Amino acid sequence: MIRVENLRFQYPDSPPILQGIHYTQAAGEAVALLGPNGSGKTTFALHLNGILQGEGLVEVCGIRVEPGTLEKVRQRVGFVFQAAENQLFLPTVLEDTMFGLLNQGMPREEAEQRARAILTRLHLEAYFERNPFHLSAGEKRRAALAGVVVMEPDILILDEPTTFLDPPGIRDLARLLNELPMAKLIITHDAAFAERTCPEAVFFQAGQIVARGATADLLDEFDWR
Amino acid sequence: MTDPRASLLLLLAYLAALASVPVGHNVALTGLCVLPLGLMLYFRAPASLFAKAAYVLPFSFALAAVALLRGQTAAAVFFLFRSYVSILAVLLATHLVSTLELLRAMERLGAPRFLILVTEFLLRYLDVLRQEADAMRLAALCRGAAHSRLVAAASLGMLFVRSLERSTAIHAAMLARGFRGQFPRREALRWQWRDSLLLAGGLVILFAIRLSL
Amino acid sequence: MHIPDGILSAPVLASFGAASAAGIAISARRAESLTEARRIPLLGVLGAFVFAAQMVNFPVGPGASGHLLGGALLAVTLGPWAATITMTAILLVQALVFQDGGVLALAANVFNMALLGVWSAWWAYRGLERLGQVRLGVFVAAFLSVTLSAGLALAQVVVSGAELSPGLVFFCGGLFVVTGLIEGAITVAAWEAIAKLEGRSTEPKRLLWPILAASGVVMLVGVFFASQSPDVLEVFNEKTGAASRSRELFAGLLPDYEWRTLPWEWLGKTMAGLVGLLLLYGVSMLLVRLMPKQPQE
Repeated sequence: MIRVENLRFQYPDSPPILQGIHYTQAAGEAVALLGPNGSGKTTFALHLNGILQGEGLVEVCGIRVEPGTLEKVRQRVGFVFQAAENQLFLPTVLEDTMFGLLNQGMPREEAEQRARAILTRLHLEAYFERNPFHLSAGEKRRAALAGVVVMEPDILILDEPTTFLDPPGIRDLARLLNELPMAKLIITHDAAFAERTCPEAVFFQAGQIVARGATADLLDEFDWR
Repeated sequence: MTDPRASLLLLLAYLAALASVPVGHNVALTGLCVLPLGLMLYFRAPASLFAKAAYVLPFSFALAAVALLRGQTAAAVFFLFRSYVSILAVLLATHLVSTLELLRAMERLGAPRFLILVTEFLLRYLDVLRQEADAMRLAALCRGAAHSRLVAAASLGMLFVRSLERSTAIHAAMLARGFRGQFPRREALRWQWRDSLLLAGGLVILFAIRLSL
Repeated sequence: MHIPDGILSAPVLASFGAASAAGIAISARRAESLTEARRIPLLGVLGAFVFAAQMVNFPVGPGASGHLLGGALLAVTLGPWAATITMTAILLVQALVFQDGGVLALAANVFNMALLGVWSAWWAYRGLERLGQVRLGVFVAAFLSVTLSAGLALAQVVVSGAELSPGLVFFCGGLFVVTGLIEGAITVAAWEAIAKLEGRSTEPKRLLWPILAASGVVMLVGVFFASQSPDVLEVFNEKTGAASRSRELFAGLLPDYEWRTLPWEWLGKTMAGLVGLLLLYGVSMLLVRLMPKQPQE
């Protein structure tokens, strides 16, 4: 499902951020990406849908990620960003949820139907015509998730999905994610959330994956709770 | 639901009718101001619109004051009156039709789509950035720098750079959801016979009042 | 200066409306083709930035503060086509959401601020940039964008039938110049802060003294011209007796001086003009303070 070999990346005139990443993941697996700030977790994830492109091999669903395949890749890989505010850029929640489907060329009626269905499933049925600004942090997070999940990607990447959420909100989000069938990569500092959602985890350090194993074991090994 | 295009066209026609009244013709003005007042009653618009309309007064008051100084009382009353009635009509329209609908109407009536999209993004991030500016002001205040040129300049610079960063992040989020350079078309507005009727009726009344007074 | 509805006459609205519509149509096409679609969020967010920037009070003198108007800053950072579109979007939101400027009056306001304001800033900036005077270019761009658009707005109001005396027109001109200088100072400060944050170093040069000197010269010239137009001064003399008082004041200050030979007439009038200008400035500052704050959505 995901195959990454010897991935390296650096911005011009700055130290390398990724120094030879090897990574594989099977369909339906959920993996937590752990590691200190600035260790390259988000940079790595952004390579999986080609927002960033470094040296090395990145392959998702059997498609090599390169300039010619971005469109196909982005249909398969959904990315929920850390700042929900930046992802909900259209003036109403419903329009924003439909954005990705319409980009795929889906007819408007069908897109609207699916958007309404997913928003209802995420308990946002009261907010179709609302400006995203007026949503609470938890609602914003769910709305951002809706806009990505509605595209039914094979791989779902979430960058720090628990920031600004209260404990019940985190619990709800974990339950929701566990119901979703696709492969998941979850970047998080929240140890309990990682354990709850991902049986497996990898640990990043200075641009490399230094360990992989059961989430609970890794959290113990790196004293990460 | 009235098509927002009908509302927008009526508003513009009304403002144009007001603008066509020559300076000093206070009778024609009084006749025309029946329309927004009647509509306000019909739609049960809040009386606070009258107070809100006073925002315009400082500007027209200056003009009126000059006219008064020169002894032209009629002209003074005229400018005060006409600007007040105009803003009342605009307030009523924006009370009844949401800004987003008005923008969609403009797009359908031929305003460049690029401009409308930019305006929608502006509206979407207006409060986000104002909140950010407010947070920065508070943070500066907490560190005891309330009124300094240095802090103000640094705040402006920081706000600007953060806006740039934000627009880059938004663009990345758009790409991640398959954006290929074209925004999806909006649902078409539905113009119904009631809208034609409303527009025609409104225009007839406007012309009748304007020409008879 | 945002002209509200109900001030401008139909011919003024029609002619500037046609010009604005054409200008916006061309700008939209140019901005869209010059920039990739990724700039739509950029333009929109920077438009929102201008609103946020207006919440930052910038101290400009004892007891007085101004805020960024933003046309020139947009022009030098986005280029003229995109800046025109962003400025138009700002004016749309100001008119529709905040009742700042009229809806039909957008015909004139868009022309004044989004076209004339942006392009005058752009040309001034480009011209001075080529001469190696980037900083000065930013300052002059901001100054011109404000004074020219405000000046045109005033002309539109006068043509629409509001009779202003020549003297008052000069007073307004003085106000515009002051506003323009403030905008220049704020724009340069913001522009430098941005450059610093983006890692482009600008050599720190003192711009304060040249600005002060320039404003002094402009003030004196303005006051002199104001003093040449008799009508307003008559009003002021009648109401305040400023000329005769200043004569007494000066006579008191310089008792031994051969005051008979001094041009009393001219000095008196200039003093009256100066007092009037300061009075107008004070009144407008007071008005700004007393104005109800715009509603926070």
